[in-house]
Amino acid sequence: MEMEKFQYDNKIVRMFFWATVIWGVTAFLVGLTIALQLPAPVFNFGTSWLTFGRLRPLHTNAAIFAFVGNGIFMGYYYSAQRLLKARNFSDVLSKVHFWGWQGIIVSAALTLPAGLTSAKEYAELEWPIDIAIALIWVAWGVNMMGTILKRREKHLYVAIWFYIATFVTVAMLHIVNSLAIPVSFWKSYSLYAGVQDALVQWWYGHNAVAFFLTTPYLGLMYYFMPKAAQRPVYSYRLSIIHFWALIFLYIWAGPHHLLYTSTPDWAQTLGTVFSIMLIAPSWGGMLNGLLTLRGAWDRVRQDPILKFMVVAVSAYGMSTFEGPMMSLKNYNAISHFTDYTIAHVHIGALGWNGLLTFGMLYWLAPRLWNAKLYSVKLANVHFWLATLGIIFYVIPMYWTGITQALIWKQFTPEGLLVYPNFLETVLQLVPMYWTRAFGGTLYLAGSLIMVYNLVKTARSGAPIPDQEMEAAPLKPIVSEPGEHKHRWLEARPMYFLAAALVAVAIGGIVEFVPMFVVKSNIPTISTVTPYSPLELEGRDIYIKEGCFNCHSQMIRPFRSETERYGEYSKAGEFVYDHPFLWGSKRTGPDLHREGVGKLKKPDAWHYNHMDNPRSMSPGSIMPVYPWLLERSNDYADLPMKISAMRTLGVPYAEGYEDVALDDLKKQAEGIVANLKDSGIETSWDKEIIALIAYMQKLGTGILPN
Amino acid sequence: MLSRIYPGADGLQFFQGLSLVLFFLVFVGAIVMIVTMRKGYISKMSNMPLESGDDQNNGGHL
Repeated sequence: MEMEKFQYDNKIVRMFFWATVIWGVTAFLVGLTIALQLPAPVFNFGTSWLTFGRLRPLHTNAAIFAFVGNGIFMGYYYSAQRLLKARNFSDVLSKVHFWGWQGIIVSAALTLPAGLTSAKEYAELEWPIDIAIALIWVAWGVNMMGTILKRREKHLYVAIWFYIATFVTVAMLHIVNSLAIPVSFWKSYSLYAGVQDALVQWWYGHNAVAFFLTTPYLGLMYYFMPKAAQRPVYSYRLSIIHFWALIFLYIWAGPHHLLYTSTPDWAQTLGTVFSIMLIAPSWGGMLNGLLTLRGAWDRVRQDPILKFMVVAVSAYGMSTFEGPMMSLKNYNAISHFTDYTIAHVHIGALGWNGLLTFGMLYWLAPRLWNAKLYSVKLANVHFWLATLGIIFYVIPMYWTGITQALIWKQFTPEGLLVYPNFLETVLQLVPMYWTRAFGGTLYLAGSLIMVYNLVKTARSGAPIPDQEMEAAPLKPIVSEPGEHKHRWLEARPMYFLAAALVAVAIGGIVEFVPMFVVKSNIPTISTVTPYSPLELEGRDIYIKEGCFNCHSQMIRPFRSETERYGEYSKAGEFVYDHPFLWGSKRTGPDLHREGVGKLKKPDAWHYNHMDNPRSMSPGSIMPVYPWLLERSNDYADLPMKISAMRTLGVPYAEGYEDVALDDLKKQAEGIVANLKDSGIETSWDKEIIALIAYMQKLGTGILPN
Repeated sequence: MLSRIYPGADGLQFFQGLSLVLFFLVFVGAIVMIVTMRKGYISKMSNMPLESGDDQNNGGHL
C-alpha cells in the first residue's frame, strides 16, 4: 500500500509546554501567598486586590485551568497526533486554541483580584469570559474531532477516548453551570437559586475535578506511562471497563459536596452511593497505571520521570479512596468545612496532577529539543522537594482538619460548648498553617529548579517544529463480519462522542429534573422575603470581596452547630439567593444567622470589625477592609439588578426598579443614624453601609414578620 | 426513594425496577464484551503508544 507523508506539529506542543511551566509556577506562587496570609494577614499588604477572598479563586483557577489546563493540551497535542497518525486538523485552530486559552487566563488574572466574580467555585469568571471559554473549548473540540476524522489509524487508543469524554463533558458542565442573567458587562446573577444553584454548582464543581483533573490526565497516563516505562499498558480490557464505569458513575456524585446541607436527602444519598461505587473504576485506573511498570520497577530507582509518575498515580489512588470515604455522612460530618478537604484536594492537585505533569515535562523536553535532559540529578532533587513539599503540606492540613472538627464539637459535661468563641478554635491552628506554608515553599522551590533544568535542556538542543512521518491512509470504514462491538464503536468517533455524552448526561438529568420540577423538594417559608435594594447591594459586596471563601452560610443540623450558630438552615430560606453562598470552608465562623439571635451584633460592631477585625476580635486572622469605609457607590446598576432578579423569579413589583433607590437611601440613612449614635460619622453611600444591611438581614427569614 | 421524590405517584415502581435492570445489564454487557475480545486486537491496541518513529529522540531521554 502507498504510504502518505505528513508532519507532526511539535511547535504547538512546545507552546503549551512553556505555558504549563510558567502558569504552574504562578499558581504555586499565588498558593504560597494565600497560605502565608492565613497565619499572617499582613501578607496581603493592605490592598484589596491581594486579600485572601480575591486571591483564593485566582489560585484555584490558575492551578486548575492554567497549570493543569495547559498540561492537558501539551500532552494532548503530542499524543493525539501520534496515536491518530495525523497532523492536527487545523494549525490555525491550534493557534486560536493556544492564544485564546492564554487570553482567558490573563483575563482571569486581572478580573478575579479586581473582585469580579460569579461566586461559583472554580467557575468564578464572569459571563463575557465564560463565553470566551466556551468558544475556545469548542475550537479545541473541532480541532480534535477533525484530527480524529482524518486519522490514518482505524482504532482509537484508550487515551483518545478520555480526551473525547473530557471535551464533551466539560462543555456540558461549563455551559449549564454558567447560565446567568447579565446585569452589566462584569456582573451577572446565576439563573438558579439556593438549593438548585447548589446542586448545579456541585454537579459542575465535582465533575470539574472528574473531567478536567482526572479523565484527561488518565488519558495522558495511558500514553506517557507506557512511553516512559517502555511497556504496554497492563490491561487494555481493564481500561475499557474502567473508562465507561468512570464516566458513567462520576457524574452522579456531585451532591456529596452537600451532605447535611438543606439539599434533599435523596440527592445526598445518590451522591454517597455513587461515590462509593467510584472506588472500583478509580482504582482500576490506578492499578492499571502501576501494573504497567511490571518488570520495570528496577528502572524506577534510576529514572526520575518514572518516580514522578509512580508517586502521581499513587496519589491518585489515595485521593480516590479518600474521596468516597469523605462522601460517607459520618466521615463528612468531621471533614466538611475544615482543612481536611484542603489536604484531600492537594493530594490530588500537587500529587496526581502536579507530579504527572512534571514527569511529562521531563519526558517531553529531550524529545521536543532533540537533546539530553540537562541534569538528571536536579530532576531527582525536584522529585524529593516536591514529594516532601506535599507531605509537609498535607499532614498539617489533615491535622488541622480533624482538630477543627473535634474542637467545634466539644461539649462540657453540662452540655455547653467548650470553645464557644470560634476564634479560639482558629488560633489553635496557626502553627500548622505555618508548617503548610513551609511545605508549599518546598514544592515551589522544586518547580523553580525544574524551570532551570528545562531551560538548560532546551538551550542545549534545537527545536524541530515539524517532524516527518509516513503512514498508510485509512481505508473507508466498513463493518467487518464478526467485528467486536467496542471495535465497531472505536472506529466511529462521532458515535463514540454521542455514546460518551449519553453516559455523562444521565446522572445530571436524573438529579436535576426532580429538583427543578417537584416543588416539595424545597418547602417554601412564608416569612422569607426578597432582599431589600440595600441588602442586595451589600450581598454583591460580600460576593465581590469573596467572603464566602472563608465563611459558610449553611448551619448543619448538628447540636454543635445549632448551639453555636442558631437554628439550622432550611431549603426555603435560599429561594432568592442568586447565586447561593453556602461556601465550602470555615476559616471563619458560619454567618447564616449573623443577623438574628445571640450572634446579632450592633451596626457599629460591623463597622469597626471591617475596618480592623482585631479591634473587635483580638488575634483574628481576618484581613482588614478599610476601603469599604471609604468607597462610595452611586448604585447606577440598581435598576438593572432589580429587573434581572425579577426576571429570575424574585417577586419585586413591576416598576419597583424606578423607586428602589429611594428605599435604599431610606434604609441606609437608618444605619447611618445608628452609627452616629455610636459616635461614627459616615454617609449613606459608603459600601460598608450596604454590607452592614446584608449582615443584619442574614438568617432573619425564619423570624415572624 | 422515588416515592419521596414523586409523592403519591403510582406505577413508578416499574421504573425503579427498570433502572436497576438496565444498570445491571449495561455492566454485565460491558464485561461480556471485554471478555470476548480477541487477543491479537488487544495486543495491537496496547502497543499503540510504543510504535517506533513517533518520537524525535527515542534513544533514551536521560
